[in-house]
Amino acid sequence: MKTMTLNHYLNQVLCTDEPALNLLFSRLFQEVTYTKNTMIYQKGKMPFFLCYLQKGAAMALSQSAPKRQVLRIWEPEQFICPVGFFSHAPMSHSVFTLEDCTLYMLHFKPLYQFLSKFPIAYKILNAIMKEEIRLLKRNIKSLSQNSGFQNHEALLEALSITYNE
Amino acid sequence: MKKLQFNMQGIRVLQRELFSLNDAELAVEILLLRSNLFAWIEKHFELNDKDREAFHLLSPASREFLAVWLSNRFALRKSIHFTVIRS
Repeated sequence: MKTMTLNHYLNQVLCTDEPALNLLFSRLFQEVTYTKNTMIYQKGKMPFFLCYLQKGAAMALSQSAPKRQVLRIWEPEQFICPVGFFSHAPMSHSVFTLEDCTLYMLHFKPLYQFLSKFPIAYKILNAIMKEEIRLLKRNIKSLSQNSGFQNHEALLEALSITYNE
Repeated sequence: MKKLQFNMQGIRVLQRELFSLNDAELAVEILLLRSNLFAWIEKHFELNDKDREAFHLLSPASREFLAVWLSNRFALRKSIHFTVIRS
């Protein structure tokens, strides 16, 4: 399946109305590939980067087995946008890959340099955060309504996920 | 890219060259265009003194508008229609 590049995602999904800055912004990201079951963000550590998940899936878990709880699932063409990235707070949970992933990462230093040069680019961040809030609400609704997710241990077993802190 | 004549034909040629670039190369052009419009124009076109004078007569707001408009069109790989009028 062909996935949308970050630049196209910013133009077509987030509709930021800033195509030139979208292109420049998307060039700040670095492509990385993670294999299944790799930690992207670790609980207790500062999140120094934003991620655009182009391919694969990721999951946030509250803590180690046996009390672990699924907090969030990310699908392709979504941003992983930790709150601590903006508030400089450590992660309250860990995020790891559910399958082999292609991610685009943006560290805070080039982001702030870019925003300093083009303050209007805050519109892009606002659009990302708005979409993040929409997805978070959808995720909460999905987790609370879908009883299958309550049995997340079985799901993680089925996916052969062996996450431990 | 070699310098072009600052006329309709030159603008058409430049657009074709810009649209043949990959995203990384286009981003370099757009960064310069957005940061310093006149430097970008000078990079691509042969300008005479009157052209330069006319450009410097534009208000900062007009230059900013032109830089934003041009960069947005080029980022979407959409062509522009631009008439150079010389008195």
